[in-house]
Amino acid sequence: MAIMYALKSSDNEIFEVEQKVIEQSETIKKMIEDGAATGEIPLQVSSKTLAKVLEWCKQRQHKTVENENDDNKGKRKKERDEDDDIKEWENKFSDELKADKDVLFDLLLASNYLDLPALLSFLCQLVADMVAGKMPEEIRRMFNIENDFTPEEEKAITAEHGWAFQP
Amino acid sequence: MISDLPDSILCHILSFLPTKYAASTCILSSRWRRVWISFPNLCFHDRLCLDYKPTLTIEDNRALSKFEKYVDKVVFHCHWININKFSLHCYKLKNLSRLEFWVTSAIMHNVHEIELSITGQDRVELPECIYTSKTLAVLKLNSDFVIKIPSSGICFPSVKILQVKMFYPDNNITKKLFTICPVLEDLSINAYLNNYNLVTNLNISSHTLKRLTLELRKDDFRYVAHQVMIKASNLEHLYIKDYTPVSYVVFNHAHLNSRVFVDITSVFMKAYNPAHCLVQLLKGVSNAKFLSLSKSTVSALDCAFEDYIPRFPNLTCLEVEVGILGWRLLPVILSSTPNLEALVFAKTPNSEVFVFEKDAGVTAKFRWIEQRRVPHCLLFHVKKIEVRGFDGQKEELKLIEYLLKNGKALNTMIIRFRKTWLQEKLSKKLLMFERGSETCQIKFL
Repeated sequence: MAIMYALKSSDNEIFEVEQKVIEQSETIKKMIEDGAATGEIPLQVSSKTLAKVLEWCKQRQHKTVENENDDNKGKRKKERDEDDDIKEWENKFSDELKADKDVLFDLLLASNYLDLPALLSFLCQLVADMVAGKMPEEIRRMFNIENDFTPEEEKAITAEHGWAFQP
Repeated sequence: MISDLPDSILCHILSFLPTKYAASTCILSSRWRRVWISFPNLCFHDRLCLDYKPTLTIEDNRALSKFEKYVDKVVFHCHWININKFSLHCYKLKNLSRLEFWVTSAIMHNVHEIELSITGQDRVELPECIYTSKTLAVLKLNSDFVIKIPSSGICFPSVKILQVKMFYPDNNITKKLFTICPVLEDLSINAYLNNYNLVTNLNISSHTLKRLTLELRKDDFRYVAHQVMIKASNLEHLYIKDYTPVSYVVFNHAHLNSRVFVDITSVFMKAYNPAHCLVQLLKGVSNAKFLSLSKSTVSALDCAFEDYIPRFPNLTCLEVEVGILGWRLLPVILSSTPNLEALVFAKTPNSEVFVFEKDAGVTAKFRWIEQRRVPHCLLFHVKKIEVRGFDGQKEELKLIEYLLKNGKALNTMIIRFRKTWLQEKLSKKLLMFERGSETCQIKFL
């Protein structure tokens, strides 16, 4: 029988999760090892975000289990199919996040807090792809960034970093 | 809000952007400007200035100058005390002295990682300060550079990860370079070797080396007696992909926990017996715990006499890929691995078998030959067998029947069918086979 843990979100919702799934988080792993995790594990993450985090962890879990089972460097067809499935899943996951940026940023914070490096890198890459090649005004609009420079300051920066703004 | 994210995350985001785009975020707001100023990676890619073309037009030349000026400017205005990474990917440099300036600047800023790739230019000289940097831990040379070994006899004093690409390398380099890097742990060599009478001697000797990847190629299949010598007592992972092939001398038998992958292609090489080189290599790695042999490797070994196959006393996991040749070898290999626990047997697609079956000479080899004595490992140790690419041919069924019957310690037999309809057709038959182990489970995938 798999060992289960109960995670408690900041809005008091309980998530029952297998140990293997949740141990991907170094933060939670440490809490378990330190014995701080008797009963429910309280987390500073909202239930909406936590659900997303667990969705990712479960998907990753399948991936790592597969990899452990075969000590093989070469890729077989089956594995390629599985890779395609994972790609498809990841695309869907990214599309949802792109559509709801608040969830995206909450998830970034959560992956940082829970110490999930794979998720953090995945999300940072996602944001980087959204930013790449866009004009400053577009990026500001996309992410609600307030331009707090005076026109003079802006001019000075543009002059200094001119190379970065040329198409 | 994106601005609620801590600086460390924003920096992480910038690390996925080419420097041009990362730098342009400094105009967004004062917060982003602060983040950019604290961000220590410099990555330049000329793809952002020009499309890849083998010949350059006047406009491209202008774009190149612009690219160089742009890198110059960033490097010149470099305000960091420490740079984490400097990477440069470009097709060509108009002014080679710029490379020296950029790399020297990066090294003055205690750079940790350097990655260089200049693909459209004849061998460029590596800036001198790179050889002695005390902070440089990762060096990736993704195109061919002229390397000059320092007279001090020590090279890359802090480099742990080294990747080099070499075309027709000079023996002065290949004999020495990989023996004088004092803390090297992970080495990848990707080399095109000489075709004619120039023999390459590649020496790799290091007590700190843990991972070694060799990819060796040659333009044609003419035989030249190239030689690779590996002396690395702490090696844990050895990956060889060799299209030439060369002869190997492996000293200080590899580490007990080592994992070894061998993929040697030896078409047209029968004239001088490639198997001999291969057997030499296998003898050198006979302490390995994990061994993977590619299809072409097994074909080459097939040319060897049976008693040439060395014993692998520590091997617990073996992966063999078998095409048309190599079937007769399987029982011999199993007899040489007394402590084997897991066996993966991968069969390459059917079509090839049919083509060759027409050839009477080869047909004789395409069958499972039962030995009089059952290999020791099957009787006592093998717990898991996986057959990949199962096509349901008669000889394959015979093999599986034999393994199930004689695998006295077997827990799991996994059969991966190449076609799903085969599973429906054959699973019943496979499940009926006699099993030598009561606990043996058969799984179809």
